[in-house]
Amino acid sequence: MCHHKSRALLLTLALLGSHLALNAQTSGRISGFVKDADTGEPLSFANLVLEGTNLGAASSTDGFYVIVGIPPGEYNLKMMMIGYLTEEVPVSITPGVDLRIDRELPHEVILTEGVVVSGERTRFEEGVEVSRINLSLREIKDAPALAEADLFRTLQMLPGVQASNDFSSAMVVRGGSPDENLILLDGIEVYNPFHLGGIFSTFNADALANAEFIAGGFPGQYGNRISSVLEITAREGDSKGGRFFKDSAIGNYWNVSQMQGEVSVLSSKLLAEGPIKNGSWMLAWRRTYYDQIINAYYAFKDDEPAGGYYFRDLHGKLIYNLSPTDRLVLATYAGRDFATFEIGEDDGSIYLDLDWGNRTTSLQWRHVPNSKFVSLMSIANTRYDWALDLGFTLIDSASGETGIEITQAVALSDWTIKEKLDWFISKDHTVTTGFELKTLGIDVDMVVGGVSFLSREQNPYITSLYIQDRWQVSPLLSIQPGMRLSKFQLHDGLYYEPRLGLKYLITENLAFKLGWGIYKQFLFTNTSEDDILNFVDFWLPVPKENKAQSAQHYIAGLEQWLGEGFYASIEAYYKPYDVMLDTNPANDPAIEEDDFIEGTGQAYGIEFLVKRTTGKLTGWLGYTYARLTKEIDFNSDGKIVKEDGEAYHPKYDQPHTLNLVLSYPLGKRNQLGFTMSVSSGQPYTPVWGKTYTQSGFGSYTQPYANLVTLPGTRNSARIPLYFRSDISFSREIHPFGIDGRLKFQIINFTNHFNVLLYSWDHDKSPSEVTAISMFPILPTFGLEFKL
Amino acid sequence: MSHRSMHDPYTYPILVAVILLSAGCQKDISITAFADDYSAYKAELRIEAILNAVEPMQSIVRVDRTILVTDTSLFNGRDDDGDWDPLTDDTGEDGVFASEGTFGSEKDDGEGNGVPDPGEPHVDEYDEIISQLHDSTLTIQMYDVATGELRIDFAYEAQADSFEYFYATSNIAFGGDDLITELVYYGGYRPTAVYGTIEYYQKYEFRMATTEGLITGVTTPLPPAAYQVAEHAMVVDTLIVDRASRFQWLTDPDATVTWVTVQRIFGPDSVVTVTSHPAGALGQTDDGDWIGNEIIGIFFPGLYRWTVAVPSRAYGAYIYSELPMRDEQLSNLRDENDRVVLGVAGSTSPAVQYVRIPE
Repeated sequence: MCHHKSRALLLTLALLGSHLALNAQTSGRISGFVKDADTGEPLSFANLVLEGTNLGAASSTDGFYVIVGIPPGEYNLKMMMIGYLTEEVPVSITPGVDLRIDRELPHEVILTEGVVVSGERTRFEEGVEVSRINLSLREIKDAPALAEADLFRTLQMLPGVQASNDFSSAMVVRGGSPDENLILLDGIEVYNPFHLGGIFSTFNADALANAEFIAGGFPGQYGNRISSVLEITAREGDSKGGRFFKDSAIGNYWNVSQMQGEVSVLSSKLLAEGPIKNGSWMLAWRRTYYDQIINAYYAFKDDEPAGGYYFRDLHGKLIYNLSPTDRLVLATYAGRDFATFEIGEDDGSIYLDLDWGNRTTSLQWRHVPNSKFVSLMSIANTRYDWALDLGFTLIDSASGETGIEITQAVALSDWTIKEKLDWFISKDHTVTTGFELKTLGIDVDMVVGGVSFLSREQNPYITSLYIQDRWQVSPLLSIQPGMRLSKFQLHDGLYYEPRLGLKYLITENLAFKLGWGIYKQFLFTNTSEDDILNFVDFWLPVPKENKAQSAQHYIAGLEQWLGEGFYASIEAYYKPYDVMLDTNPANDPAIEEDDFIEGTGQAYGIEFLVKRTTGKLTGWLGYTYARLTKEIDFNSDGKIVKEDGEAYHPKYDQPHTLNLVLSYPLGKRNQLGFTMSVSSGQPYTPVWGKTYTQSGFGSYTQPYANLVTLPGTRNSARIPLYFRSDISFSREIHPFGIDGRLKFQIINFTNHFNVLLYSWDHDKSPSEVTAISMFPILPTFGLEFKL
Repeated sequence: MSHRSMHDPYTYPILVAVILLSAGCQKDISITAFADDYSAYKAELRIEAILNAVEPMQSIVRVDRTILVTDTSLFNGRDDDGDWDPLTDDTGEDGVFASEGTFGSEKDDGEGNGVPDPGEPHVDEYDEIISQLHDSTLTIQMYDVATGELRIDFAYEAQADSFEYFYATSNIAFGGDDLITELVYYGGYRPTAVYGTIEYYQKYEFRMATTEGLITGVTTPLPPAAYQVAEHAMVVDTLIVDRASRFQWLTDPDATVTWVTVQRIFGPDSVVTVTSHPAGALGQTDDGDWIGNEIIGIFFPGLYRWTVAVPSRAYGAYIYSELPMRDEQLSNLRDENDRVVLGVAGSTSPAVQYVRIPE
């Protein structure tokens, strides 16, 4: 089997190589970078056309383009991007020539009202992958959000994406739990980039350039996740507009182009960027001050607050161009959350400190020796960790004061070396290949009363190789076969993950797409779907006793181009899960091997999307019909019994979801934003009766410790319909000559009561039920400024 | 050890409560809105039949009925047995008197109004409720499965056993000073006679005759824990265990769960239960025995009575597992139609050790 695969791969490469050789002799090539003339930032999805031919290309997210197979002759190369002036470059092609043409496109001086920078058409023509959606910084920033613009909240408004609840930013994609999503920031994996309670955005939106989201069927270059990919690109920094040291020597090496900031009721942020010699820099800092507000309130009351919470984060990027062909990028992100809680009385006190965060640092080397290759090599460290310090002080009449302290520290450190090579073989073939070496360090330490209670360290590695070919079979048909091979240290053998994408242009404006793939995942979190809020995740390697988590994606879709920046799509998916890991409720506490059990599942659905990015009224309307079922032998008796809750609809099974996101300018200075989300209620386990129990940490000598719910069949009831509508208004202002923007938003402005959970009080006769809601109506305001 | 249990007990409830209280809203809902869920449910028997393999006369069978959520007879908001005291119990619904602390700083509904209200001490208290749940009509015996011989006869006693119930009428009380302790008796079936001896690893069957038919369950007792005394000094029958060390015991390879009860001895007539909790074994010796332990540093210096009880496998799973109570694995009780009966047939083998923790 293995030999056959290797032989087929070699044969393919040989054919591609010969194709390349033939092409090189008779035709020429052009490649280069397209950038914004004002800032030097790359322009992705710019359209490049050789006038009078059907030859052309689209720039990548790096701004790189390649046109190959150009017959000898004189041409006019047009570089076009909506919102920018078109550049025309005369070129002369001779056999075997390889031209490098880099250009910076200036903005159109007078923008037609409502026109925005867009590469949507190019994306429509070039993109092979199914389920891919790009969100620009503007789209993220224009959607109403609670305290500030939030990429994850905006993504949760797309078809196929759900939030577990208002308090969670984590995404549920096509039924997959949040740990099944690969989140890449500048190509580096971030493990748990979420803040407390879903109020704050995960990343500082000002620091982001754009986000590519693939809800399923993603190609072989992405791995170790079984649901979706979110690839976020941070801004490179304005390398053009150095303003402060123009006439001094410093200005040649370092300068500042602009600073911008935002002050809102709950947070402040600041971004600065500028050029360095042969490059650029960008720094974005943010801190929330909920803790300071609480402190001030209690200081006013002459009292001590019981707790506090804040987080801070920093994005940094430094780009240095070694030569026209080589570039180094040093990027970092560091975010940390701090939560404290303390209460004290005469006879004792209790305190809790919890902090968690992510830190990523990467060094990337981009090498573009000629038009045939783009190599991207990176070394990166990403670390996710959390630390808990919990203490009690007890004052006892017999013994005086004593204390108990429990500390727990959990860290996941990931060192990755990876290489991605784009090989532009011919106008019909672009091969992307690469490898990834990932060494993980997962440490868990728990100390109780000064004595080590638990200390565990695991250092598995994951090695992956992949290759994919974007093959333009005909002007109407393109396919993208691929294969990913992975070796996970804890498991024997290799994992094969074939992938396939297909696009057929039925008409000029109607594309049919297919996607298929096998996906494996070697790390997971042991979070229960019933947990309402998760502050920290417990990432674990799949134990050697269990199979890797595994899913298949079958996706078919139609995409209709309706006009510039205006398209509609319909996509159906079927996602069987061969292996889903879950905590084993019947585990034997002494045996580690039975901590997790394997289940299977099925997710399927159909999604509709109409999206418009140009014109006055922009936004999208999405509808999703989605189902999710799960089968898991919870009591490990070898049988799936529905009555025992072993075949059920998990919490994320919400059949109907309708989302509307709109943005509309009111005059030249005002902007109106509106979002609406309606979805079926989540399943929950109903209450049948009540009984006393000694279970949990109740006393053995006290068999009537807890009056508990007798649950009915698992997830056989549903909470009522979810409805939330947010509105935002912003107005440009110029106090003291500063560019600014005032923002006002109302979250859940209809004040719809969205049930988060039901709480039963069984001590009453009859039992009483209290429903606890998600966000009630919440107005917020903020001020953005730019220096 | 389960990974989940390592962080959830501490971080989860407190932070979730903080978030929900600060961000969410609450609304009372009539339970009739949930009638579709509960209306078909009928109260059922819940049985805990526990053989004490070390002292068989200490065995007990608790037989209760579950409660409907619509029941209005049990928690009626009245002082049914007349022990409510207006001086000490008129706390209002929150059960604590108003104070200057972080919580409960203002008087709540019913506080100081001179009449019993729901939520106040001695209103709908244990001894008013539990006695109404017992079913005293069963005939219960335990047999040796191998020989078919009768081993224990049980009979119902209104005060079969008791437990200590703690509560505080001031703000959160951490130490022992503010706690009020009451002894609560409950009914159950106790042995009237034990025939022959009880052997470890033998199968014993509880046979419980109800008006609706016979309920049975088999248990296999395991030997008790062996305390590791070698590394600690022993004075007469009391181990001296330093606060910076662990106190360990070994259990049979089949026993991966133990139940630890720690009682502090203040004097001959003053014993307070400090903790009582299930514990999973942490490691294994070369002989295959499981090691259980307790970190001594969390206890005050003083004299303690340690009881480590080794439950049978089914009983261990029952007290430790997160499976629903109706699960056919968790409950080994069956009725005549082989349907699962809530509860368990189990056994326990307790071992006692006195421990002194020096200053």
